[in-house]
Amino acid sequence: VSEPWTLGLAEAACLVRAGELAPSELVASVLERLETVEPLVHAFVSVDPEAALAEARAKDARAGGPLHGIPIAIKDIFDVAGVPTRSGCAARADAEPARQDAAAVAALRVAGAVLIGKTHTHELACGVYTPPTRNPWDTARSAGGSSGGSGAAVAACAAMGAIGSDTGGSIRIPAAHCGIVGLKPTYDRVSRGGALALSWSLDHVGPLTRRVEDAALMLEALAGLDEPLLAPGEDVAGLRVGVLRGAPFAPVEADVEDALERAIASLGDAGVTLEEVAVPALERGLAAEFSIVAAEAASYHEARFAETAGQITDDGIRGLLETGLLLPASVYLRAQRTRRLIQDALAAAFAAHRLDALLAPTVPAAPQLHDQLEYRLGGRQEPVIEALVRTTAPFNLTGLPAIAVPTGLGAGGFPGSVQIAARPFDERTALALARAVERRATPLGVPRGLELATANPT
Amino acid sequence: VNDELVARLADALGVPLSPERRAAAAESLAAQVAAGGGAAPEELDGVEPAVRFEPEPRT
Repeated sequence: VSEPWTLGLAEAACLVRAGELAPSELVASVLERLETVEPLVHAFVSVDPEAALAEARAKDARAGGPLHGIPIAIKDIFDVAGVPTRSGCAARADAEPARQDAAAVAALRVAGAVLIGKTHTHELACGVYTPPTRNPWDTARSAGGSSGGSGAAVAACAAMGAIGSDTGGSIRIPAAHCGIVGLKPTYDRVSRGGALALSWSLDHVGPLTRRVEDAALMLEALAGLDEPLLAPGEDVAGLRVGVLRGAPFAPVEADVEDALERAIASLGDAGVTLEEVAVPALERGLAAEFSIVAAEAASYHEARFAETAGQITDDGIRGLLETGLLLPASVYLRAQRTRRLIQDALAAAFAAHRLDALLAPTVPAAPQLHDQLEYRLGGRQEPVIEALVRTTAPFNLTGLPAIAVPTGLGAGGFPGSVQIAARPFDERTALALARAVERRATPLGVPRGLELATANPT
Repeated sequence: VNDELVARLADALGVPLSPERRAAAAESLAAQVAAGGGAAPEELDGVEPAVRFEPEPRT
């Protein structure tokens, strides 16, 4: 084995299982990589190398679960026993250590994972910047959010995989910005127990990894599945995929359009039948998403809001919570009814076109600069938060599984990404199609922002 | 939706809203109300709220 940190998660798990790589060797290598790149990307809130190494050594002499000895990072909204959950919020700076693991964390431990640290989240898991984390492709730009620390850590090879949460794109946006895979499973496929909530009815828990097969392995562990989600020779020929191009998936930058075309060509090569699908109801999604998030987040934080409001750094989040507490019930219910309208419209599209999945751009633009508030898209200015969430939120509102997968480097030098959404609980189809895109994409190579660090995997 | 309405609403609901934040809250609330949560009432006639996720299509 060359440098173990260059391996993919599934590849490393295979070597560990075969006795060709010791968990302690793997964890030590990833920790060394972490030490090299962390000053550049600022992905981690806390790392406990001694504990991680001790745990890995204890695993050396025995067999274990499917993630035996695999170093994994945890977004800092999930409880990890003995570690404070600060959720990127100053009001939680003095939080007591958690008494027990969140359900997702416990599932990873049962599978044999070694937890190496907690990653930065945008404050209260509500935003798309995640300061102080930097994008490994260009440290002047954001890694996305809210699971930006998890995205940057995985892209920089400072963890083999990570978990995040996705309420309106918070797994898929950092995955797209950082050039990795992000899987938002079907709603409630993975337990939200022990995690900070943003919006109970929209929050999803899932993995961020470098490869599609790694995401499948992590989801199997997180959801406690007995059967593998990806078979080695699984064929996608004959599947039918609807391509979403209209609003809210337009306007997009030229590189994003190119990425979509590459994915269409890749799936066509693999024998997939593609057709354009229009679902006008999706245009109503952004308003519904923001109303539901405002009302549910405000209610979740209401008991502590009087004491914590002044410590919320992001003025937009404070405003969202204040607005949510004042929002008329009629608006919230109209949003939930709009959501049903969208769910039914997508279900009708699946049925009418006999679709197995949908394909769309993950995000409409390249990663934003740390202080950039607007994109210029389609000839007009658009707030970054609205642009990034309008393409991802439809699959939070519908609860459908959706995976973001890289399509190669764009002309602008940033990774391209498309998302593939499937029917409820059919992550298997989404993963198989994502792997078909991945296999035909040019490997991304070295993230530009990490040129100072040592060699990267291709 | 104006500062005074927001202040009175916040007071009635027990929402901590300092005077200097009233204008921003009024602006944000006005935007949310104008967006109306998505679809118009007439488009939603007969549509039940999605208070629970239902994996099976209802159509």
